[in-house]
Amino acid sequence: MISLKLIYKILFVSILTIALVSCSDPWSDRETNDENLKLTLKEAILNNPETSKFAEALVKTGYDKVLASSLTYTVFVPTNDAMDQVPVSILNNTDNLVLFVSNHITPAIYSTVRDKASEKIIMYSNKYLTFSGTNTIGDATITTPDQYAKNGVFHIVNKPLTPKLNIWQYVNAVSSSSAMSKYMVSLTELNIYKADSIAKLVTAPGVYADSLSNSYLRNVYNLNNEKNSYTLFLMDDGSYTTEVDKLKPYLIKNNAARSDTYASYFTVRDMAFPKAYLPNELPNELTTRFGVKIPIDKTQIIGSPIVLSNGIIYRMKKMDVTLENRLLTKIIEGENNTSYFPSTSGNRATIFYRDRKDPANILYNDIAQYHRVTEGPNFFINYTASDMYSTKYKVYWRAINEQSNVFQQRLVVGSVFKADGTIDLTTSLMAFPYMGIDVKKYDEVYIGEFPLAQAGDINTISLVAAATTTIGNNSLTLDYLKFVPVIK
Amino acid sequence: MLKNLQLTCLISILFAGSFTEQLHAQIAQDSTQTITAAPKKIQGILVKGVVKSAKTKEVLSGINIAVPGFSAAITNNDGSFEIGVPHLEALLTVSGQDFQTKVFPLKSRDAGIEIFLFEEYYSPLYQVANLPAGEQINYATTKASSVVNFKTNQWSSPVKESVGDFLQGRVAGLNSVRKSGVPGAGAYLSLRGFNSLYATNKPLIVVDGMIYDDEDYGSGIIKNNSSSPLENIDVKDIENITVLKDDASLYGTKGANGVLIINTTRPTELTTKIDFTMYGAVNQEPDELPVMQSDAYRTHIYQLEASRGLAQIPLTYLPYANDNPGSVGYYKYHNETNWQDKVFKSSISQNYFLKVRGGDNIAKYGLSVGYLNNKGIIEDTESNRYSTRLNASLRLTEKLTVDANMSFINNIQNQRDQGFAYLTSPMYLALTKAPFLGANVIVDDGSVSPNLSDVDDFNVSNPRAIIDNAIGVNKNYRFFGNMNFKYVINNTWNVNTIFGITYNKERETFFIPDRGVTDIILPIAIGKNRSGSEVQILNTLYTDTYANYSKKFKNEHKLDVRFGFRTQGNKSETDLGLGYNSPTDDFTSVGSGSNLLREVGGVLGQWNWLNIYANGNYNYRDKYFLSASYAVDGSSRFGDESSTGDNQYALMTSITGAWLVSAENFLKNSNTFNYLKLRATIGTAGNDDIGNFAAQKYYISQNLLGVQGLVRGNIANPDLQWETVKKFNLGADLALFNERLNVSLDLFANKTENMLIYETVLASTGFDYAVSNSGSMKTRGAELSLNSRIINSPDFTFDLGVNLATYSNRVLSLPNGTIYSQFGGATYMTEVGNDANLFYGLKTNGVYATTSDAQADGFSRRLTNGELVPFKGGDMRFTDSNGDKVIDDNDRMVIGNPNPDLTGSITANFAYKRFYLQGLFNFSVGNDLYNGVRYNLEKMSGYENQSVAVENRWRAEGQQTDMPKATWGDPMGNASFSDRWIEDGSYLRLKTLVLGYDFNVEKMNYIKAIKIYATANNLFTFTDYLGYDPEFSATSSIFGQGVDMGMTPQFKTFQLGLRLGL
Repeated sequence: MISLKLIYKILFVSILTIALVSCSDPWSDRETNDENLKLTLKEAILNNPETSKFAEALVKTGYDKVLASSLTYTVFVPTNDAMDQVPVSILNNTDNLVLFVSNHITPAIYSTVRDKASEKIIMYSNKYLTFSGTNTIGDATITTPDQYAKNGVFHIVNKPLTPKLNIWQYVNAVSSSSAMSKYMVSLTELNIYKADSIAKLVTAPGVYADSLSNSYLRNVYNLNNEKNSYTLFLMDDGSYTTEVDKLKPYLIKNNAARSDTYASYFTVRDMAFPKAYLPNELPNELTTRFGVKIPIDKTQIIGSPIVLSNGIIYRMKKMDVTLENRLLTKIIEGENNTSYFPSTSGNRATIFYRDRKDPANILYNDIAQYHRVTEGPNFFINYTASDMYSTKYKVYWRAINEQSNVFQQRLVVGSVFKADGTIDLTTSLMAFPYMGIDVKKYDEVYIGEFPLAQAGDINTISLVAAATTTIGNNSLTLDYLKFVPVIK
Repeated sequence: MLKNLQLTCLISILFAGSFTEQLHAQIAQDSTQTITAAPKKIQGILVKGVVKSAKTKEVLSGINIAVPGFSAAITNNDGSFEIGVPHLEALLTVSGQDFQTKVFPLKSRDAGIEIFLFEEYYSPLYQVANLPAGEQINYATTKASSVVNFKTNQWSSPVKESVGDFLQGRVAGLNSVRKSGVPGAGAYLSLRGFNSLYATNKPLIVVDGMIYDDEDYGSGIIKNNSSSPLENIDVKDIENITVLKDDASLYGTKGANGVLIINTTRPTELTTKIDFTMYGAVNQEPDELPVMQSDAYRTHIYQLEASRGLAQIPLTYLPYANDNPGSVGYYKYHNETNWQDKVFKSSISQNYFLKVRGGDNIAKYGLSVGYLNNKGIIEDTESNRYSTRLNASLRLTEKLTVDANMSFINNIQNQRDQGFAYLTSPMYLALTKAPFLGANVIVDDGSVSPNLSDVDDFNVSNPRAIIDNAIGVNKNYRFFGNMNFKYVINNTWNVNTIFGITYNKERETFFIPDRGVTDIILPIAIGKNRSGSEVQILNTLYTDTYANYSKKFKNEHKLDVRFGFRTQGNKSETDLGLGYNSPTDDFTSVGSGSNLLREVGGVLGQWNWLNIYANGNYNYRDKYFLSASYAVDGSSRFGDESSTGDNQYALMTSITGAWLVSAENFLKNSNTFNYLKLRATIGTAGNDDIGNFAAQKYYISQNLLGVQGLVRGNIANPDLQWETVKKFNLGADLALFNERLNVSLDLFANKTENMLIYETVLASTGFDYAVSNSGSMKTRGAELSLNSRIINSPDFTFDLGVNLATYSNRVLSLPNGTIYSQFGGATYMTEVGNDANLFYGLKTNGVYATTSDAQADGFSRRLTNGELVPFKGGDMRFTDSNGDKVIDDNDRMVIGNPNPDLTGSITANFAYKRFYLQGLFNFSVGNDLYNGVRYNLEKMSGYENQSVAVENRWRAEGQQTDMPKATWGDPMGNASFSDRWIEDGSYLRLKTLVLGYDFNVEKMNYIKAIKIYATANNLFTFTDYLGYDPEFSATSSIFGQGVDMGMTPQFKTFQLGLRLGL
């Protein structure tokens, strides 16, 4: 009997130990015990009384399901007070509300403590917001930072982050009231360059169609691009007309309408810059990507700058750019030839694309032709010049003769060719006479001037060698050509 | 009649001979044979007494009482006996069927003697230890030796349990750590801590008188699997194992780590006995480690990709970041796969075993045949073992006997890579593969293909592809046999010769398919599929020839002398071929791989050993014991510098003594002290594991731009010698309260001198190190072993046993200062004045909740490009131990010790009528483990799936947590080797629980026994350790113990067994 009792005791003890074992799992206290981490962002925002109105909008737009998923997000949650500032037009229109809500959500986690002082982050609206310092997102201020949940963090902000138009959308929006805008939009139909017309043919319609086919967005800056920021100076109609008129004599085309288009283009292309300059950052002079120096007269700014999702627009009463600044000198590098003649293979071996240092140790590249035997005289190298103004040009060259003897070469502008391929000097636009190239002379040499009646490209400019078969006398050399427009 | 008489005469002579040959003659295993003719009466003092059963307190009749070589008697029906003894300090040998043979000191009494007999194998005191100098009853031994009797537990032990496993918890001081849960994986055995840093710490194994080589000679082409020939000996073939802890001088330079002496089945009986057993076991898959599920994992890697520098928009285009049902790739990345389920599988093991013993007085035999199918818990891993053993004992002439022990074991193992085989270990992949992917191809309409999916977007292999299509086979066999000739010259002299051979061959083949497995980068190509084949051969010729002299003078002085010599010649060979890029995954042999990429190699080994030894045991009146041993060793491994000369032969000596205090008059009347013996040992032993050719100068081949040549392979050390271990031991053995409490206590100190060190050498030599005998170290410790019978009643007994062992280590000298070593991601430090192999890394103190907290500390870390980067919110707060504000290697400190403070076991055996319940708990306290698996599950720097604890990772400023932030590549080293990964490895495990029932077969003819067993293995483990299991050993080096590198864990097994005795 005693032993039976003992067996019961043993049984009891063993069951107790088994119970103990099953209860003691060393992993149990390593599982999530942080209440915040048990909630998804959706639940965390819903549960927060301060953000209930934004939570309602989340539910209404279906973004609550996104915030319940297992990817990570950062949400900038406007307080209920901030949500009250949102116009009804947004709240009551589903499309607008989706855009509005998605402008508060971004993939990945952004802490208020970051290495970068300021960075642009893309929101689900495809708009970028600038997150700067520890508490500024767009134009809102973070009041309660770094709230975390299972799938991300949220920061409570004091203002709604209503999505803004980008520069291009703004330009479109004001095209009826602004001549400059209207012109920029019209370039969706008009072409400036040949490639623009091809782009217009191949571009599929859609939100990015303008970026690919509008001649302004293609050739200047893609103001429809949310990823970069730009500054655009939008001139008042008066100033715009003045500036265009100023350029018209230099952009004479075969008809007046085309002259207008090009004069407008060359005016407007200098009004965009690849950075959003805040008023306090704005310098007195900016240089465009084409090399035109634009003086900025801050006193001419109308009203406050228009801050947009990808930059800033300044409305300008006047943008006075002098013709000296506008009309650009054209420099053609000798080594950038388009062709040569006669183009038999033996001649290619006599053309040297040189990489040299001048006596001042400045590097330069040029072209030189030497030791031509097999072919006869009348050898020439061709160049083109684009975007030339309808004005008189002064021509200079820098040609470096590394031979021991002086030799002769000439320049023909707007060359016209005979059937056998040689130049018809009589019908060519301008045939400068032969000039001797001095030995080891590194200076620019003025070779004369020629008039251009119509603006546009000069398709052929030829550098012609002396008509002799004597080696050393029929050489060619050119560092660059310089065409300086003369103001009428 | 004459014939009969001669026969009885012969038998009596035989017994008398064996009486003189053994110190306290008894034949413990021979319970059926009774002495049929009592030796003639010799004049002496008449002693009277009674023999009773310790359990029932009933008198026992038919019990043999003898004073060996002097007189003998049998108890009467009332249990009483009368016997003549030479003097009143004589020992009576008391034996009877089903009882443990014991010796009983008269202690000057001549009447009223009560002798209690316990059942067989009860008391450790009367176990017969098989020592290098011959068998000796523990009662009289002077050495720290324990006998593990296999007979009581071998039939009920789990079939997957091998010798090393079985020994776990059975001997105080013998630490057995199972290498892994792979079927047939061996155990890391060490006796009394460790004595060497670079040489082996494994005790010498002697099977049936012959050294048993348990090394793995291959490189292990199936990654992190090793072979252990010791595992091939079936537990059921073993009679007993003697664990000799202190005086191993007789084995010369092989005895430094103690000796395990294994006796296999002994044919001792004349009646034919047949034992048939069959077992079936269910192996349960381990408790899964809690890894993140799909959602949590997706959040984690999405966040990680952002920290990698992936901008917001590319982030949303990641293939798995698509949440539109039905879109391309949606179904591929939206699954909830429990990969651990895909890899682990419960399995069934089975074992059949037949043992036949019998013979006549000329030839006796023990024959066993076994088949074991031992499955693992990684699907398709198993071991199939076929074993046969024939142990025969032949009496060729009256004086010449021969014992033959022969075994042949064939083992076919199916294995898979394990441990940190990042691309191919199914278990590692199961833990770390993305849970949102599926094992099979899932097409865009959501339907699942039967084809297995290929390597995923994260370049992670499919573990199912490895389980289903890879090959990993290890076929090995070993013939181990010897003949032991014994010639009895006369009663005092006999001569023995053991002649034995070992032939071991192992053939390993593997194939890793291309489909589903990540490619590897080879020096000149991308490795798609890969194959390998390796053959290892070991040949050993062993002899041991010795003479015994045994004589008793005046019945008071007893002298036993043994002297002889041993030789061992060994040859090993390993040949290896690796192939890559066979045309398809159907061509799996090395030969079908690309000719350009094939690699071949191999290793040859050869070593010879000679050992001349002598031993003398003396005792006076069985009270005072003295033993001296002496051995001279020569080995081909030793340096042969002729000028010094003294390195050529090792001399090992030891002297041990014991005093049986309880035999003294002042204790003779004590009822408490039945037995008290004090022991002391002082001696030396050596360790010759110094490399076969390290003393020699050798050349290796080298290919330079297509030209083959020979270059120096090492810096030879002609002075290289064995390590010497000085051993001191003090011990006491006690039996109290009518032997119901048996205690054995030992204190030891081992000091290693001439310790092998890999000395760093100048880079200008062209070598990294040179081997020298220049270190020293000591290990001290204590052991306690306690066996008690708590409840002793006729129907019910309860036995409780406790084994405890502790050791501490101190490095005394190192030639080059501190040694740092790496293993599996852990760094160990060994320096003078401290324990060897301590974990050495950074110390952490939580996670910075905010960046301003981190700035307040001002710590930074230097990146690989030299840049100093300050810590921020979410980084670990490391301890800057040198105060320079930069966290780097100079801030490392000791963060853990893999050596346990205390190891041991508890056994509790209940017996109630024919039922019995046996529990064996083993435990380890205070050992630290480096959880390398958890490091991979919480490092948060790559695509690996992580543990659920990672869900607590730091995500936002101000978050209080102990898990740092997730950063791609972990530039701040938050996951560097630190105390984050060091865990307390203490555990208490119910290793085996056996419930047995012994049928009553008294009325059945022919059937001698029917027993059934229900055995549970690893039923539960109390531990705070966060890995699968706190017990593992990935290497045989001490630099590597305590590193969890994801070996297949041990698992629970439930087993039913039937034993039929005919």
